Formats: sequence, structure tokens, C-alpha cells
Amino acid sequence: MSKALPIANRVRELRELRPMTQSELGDAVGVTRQTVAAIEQRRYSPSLETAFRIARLFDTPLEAVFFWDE
Amino acid sequence: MSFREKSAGLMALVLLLASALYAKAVLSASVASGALVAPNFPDLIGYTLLLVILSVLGHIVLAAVSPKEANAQVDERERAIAAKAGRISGALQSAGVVLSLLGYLWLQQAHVLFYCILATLVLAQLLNYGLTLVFNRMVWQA
Repeated sequence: MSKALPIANRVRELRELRPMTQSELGDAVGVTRQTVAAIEQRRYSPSLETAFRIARLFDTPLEAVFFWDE
Repeated sequence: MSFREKSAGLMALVLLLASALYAKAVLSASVASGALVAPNFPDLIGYTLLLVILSVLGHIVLAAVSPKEANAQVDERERAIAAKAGRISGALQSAGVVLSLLGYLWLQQAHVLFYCILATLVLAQLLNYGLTLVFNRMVWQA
């Protein structure tokens, strides 16, 4: 398994607080369930647009959702 | 597993099966005649029809099993994966075509050129499907 990406996130935590499924979050921000799973597992860093969509959906500042963690 | 992954896996299997049957037909005919047989339309039409029919039927089954995923738009991650898989398999395809043409200059046999280019197309497409499956499991940056 490759090393995780340097950008960490709180997507799973925020999603479970709402609560939402990965599929519902994917539908809300325009990506597939598999992409949401990849973001949560740090296997994929989303585009800036998708990152903003996720932060906006959770009504949380972007830097509170995604942050540098090398 | 996403719909694109299932589709890539299905297409890899279909392409392998149809290509193996076509290769077997060409090899059998070549062994029987004692020389490499010329490509012919009936075999190629059969190969193409088998590919089309199996892939259409397979995708109908995949779409019936997960209709929501089948109708979903390709997202940014899937687009990036498809682009990278396409770039790598495209490079293999280009190299294969150039090698086939060089082989023709050396051997001067049009049948060999035809089969080499066909094999290149099949291998490049198989690589594309394989990379799609692998990249979906890897760490990936947009």
C-alpha cells in the first residue's frame, strides 16, 4: 500500500456527525461513493472545488476540514 | 467497487476471451496450412461481433445490478484515473505500432504486420483496463 497523502481531513468525522452515508455525501458534492471513501482514507486529495463543496456542506471552514499533516 | 472498475474488469475479460478465440482460430488455420494465414473478414467480423455482443450483454447485467452507479456521471477522480491509464496505454500502443512497422521493414510480410498491430491494440487496451483497476486502489492525487 502506498504512503498516505500529506493532506489529512475530518470528512469521516463530520459526515458521521450529521449523520450521512458516503453515498449521500458523494451525491451532495458531485463525486462517487468510492471517491468519498478514498478521500476519507487519504488515498485521494480532492480538487479545490470539491474540497470547498464539502466544507460548505458541513458549514465548516475549509482549513478545519482539510489540513496539512506530513 | 465502482461501476468504472466493474466495467474495466468486464471489458478486460471479454477482450481476453474474444482475442484468445481469434488467436486460436488463426493458429489452427496456420498450422493446418503450414504457413501464417492471411487475415480474413469472416474471422475478424466474428471477433468484432463477439466483442460487441459480450460487452453489451455484460454492461446490461452490470447496469441492472447497480443502476444508480451505472447512471452516475464520471467524477474528477475517475477522470484523472482514465486520463493517466490512457496516457500510459497510449504510449505502449505507439511503441507497438512503431516496432510493428520496423518489423515490417525487416520481414516484408504484411500478414505479420497486421497481426502485430492487432496484438498491440489488444495489449494496449488490456493495459488500460488493468491500470484503471490498479489506480482505483492506489493513493491518488488530483
